[in-house]
Amino acid sequence: MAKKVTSALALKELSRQIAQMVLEISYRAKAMHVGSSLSVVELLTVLYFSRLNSSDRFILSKGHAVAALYAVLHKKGVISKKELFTFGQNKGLCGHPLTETKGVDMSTGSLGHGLGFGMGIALGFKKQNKKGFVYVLISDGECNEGSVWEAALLAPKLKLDNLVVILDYNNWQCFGRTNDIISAQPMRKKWESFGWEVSEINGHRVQDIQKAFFKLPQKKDCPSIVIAHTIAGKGIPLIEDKQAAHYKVFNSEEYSEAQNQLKKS
Amino acid sequence: MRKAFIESLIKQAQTNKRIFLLTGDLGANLLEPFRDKFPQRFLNVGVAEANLVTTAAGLASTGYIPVIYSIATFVTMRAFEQIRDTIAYPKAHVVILGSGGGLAYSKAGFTHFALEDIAVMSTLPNITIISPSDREQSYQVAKAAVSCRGPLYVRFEVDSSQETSIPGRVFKIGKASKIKNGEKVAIAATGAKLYAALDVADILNRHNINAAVYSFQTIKPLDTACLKNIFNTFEVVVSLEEHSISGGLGSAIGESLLQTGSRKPLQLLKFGIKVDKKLVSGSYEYLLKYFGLEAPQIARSILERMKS
Repeated sequence: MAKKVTSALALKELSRQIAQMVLEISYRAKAMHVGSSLSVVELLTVLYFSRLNSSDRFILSKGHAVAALYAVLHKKGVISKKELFTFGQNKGLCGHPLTETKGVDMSTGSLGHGLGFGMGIALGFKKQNKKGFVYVLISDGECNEGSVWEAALLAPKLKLDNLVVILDYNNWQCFGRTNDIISAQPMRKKWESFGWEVSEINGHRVQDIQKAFFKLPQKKDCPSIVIAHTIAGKGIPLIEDKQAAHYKVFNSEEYSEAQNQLKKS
Repeated sequence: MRKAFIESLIKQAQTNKRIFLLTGDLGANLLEPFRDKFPQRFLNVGVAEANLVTTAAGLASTGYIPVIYSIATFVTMRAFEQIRDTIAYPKAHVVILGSGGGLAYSKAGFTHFALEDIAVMSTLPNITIISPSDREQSYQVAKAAVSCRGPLYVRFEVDSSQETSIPGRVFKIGKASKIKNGEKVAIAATGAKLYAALDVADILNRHNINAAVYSFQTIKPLDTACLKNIFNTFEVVVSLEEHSISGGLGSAIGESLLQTGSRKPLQLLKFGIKVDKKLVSGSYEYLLKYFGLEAPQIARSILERMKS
């Protein structure tokens, strides 16, 4: 098993490289969702390089952030560069995760399914006395889906302390600010009232992410949720914290400038 | 039929530790024996069909064979996308049980009438669709469902008051059974409508028509070899189901006929529920009559349409 990366500096550098890779493959694929992927780069970097064990599972329920997952899997040596560059091409890596791709535990893309599925895995692990965490990354907009709350209601009852939700709270969804469309506030209190153990972090500070991931489960017999406050399109001023972060397809000029900006970030 | 299925499941679960039963808070006075015998392999997720499906799919990925129980309308339609995305396309071995097929919950109103479940499930890849005809068969279906690799949907209709043991009949997924020989007319029925089909054949017999009766308990995959033989043997094929006349067994047979063809002209008469008709509630018997699904009504209609 690959050695874990624990140095915050190293993780930050890895995150920068992964962010650049996200932009590159998205540009080549003429893909949207660049901003959605950039908001989870540090979260996935720390998870994959310093936390995940082979007994763990990860569900990218926020499937449209798949570019970040592919970039991380490439950096981990799971996906080759050749395959990485098939992103968005005919018969290439898909615009949302598919289990046909090595390293992907669940096919996603339709928001709201991942938490229930992850809960099923966590339950299966508990029943079989298997050690292993199940991480499910959901988005704030995804919390509009009732199915998220169905699962959120049940997990504490089942005492699934091997289940960890990472909530990417970048406060943007398709049509506007998440808090304007369906006010999710107070998000923390909602999850606490359902029986979850909640922590809130800056989702771009690797030290904070490391700290949050290393004290899991946050409470025995209780599922955990890490509410990560993030910025959509972090690192690229053209889209950073803008609605365009969800939709923007970069032209060549915009791409070059954005890569320079990420390089310096 | 549901009880027989659960009894079979309990027997299997004694040695097969992978069987895990989940419910969306339905199945009271039915599922308790399983729950009481195997509490560690039973879960009530509450009134939450989406979660029922996705949790089962997740469990399946850890090696369990989840069997999920709900009312047919709720699980197939409310959670259709979850079934599609987490069970059907990924080919997860999950057994979906839908009670109340057809008009079973006759007094509950249209929200509980499963008239489209076969149709919607049929559009999905990899899902086997079964509608057992009676308790004896339901018991066998449970065995097949556990040993089959892949998703299954089993719908349970009202037990026929005339169900009987049919000697020599062995349930096999994808295989139709000839229950009665005949000429000129063949009736293909699914679910408990098999017994209505036998009644119809009896009535036709009094009009000197010796109709054959086939049981298509597996609707998907359809036994196209059997159908091909039927198309080339009979002049009139009657489909009978307690489901919308669109999208169910009759439509599947029609599609098969278009693809296969027949050596001579063939008439396909579909009997099911015309959902455009106002959906009233009442006793099961009343609704059967209301929708023209009583045996004498079906027989009369067949005779009239054969004459015209």
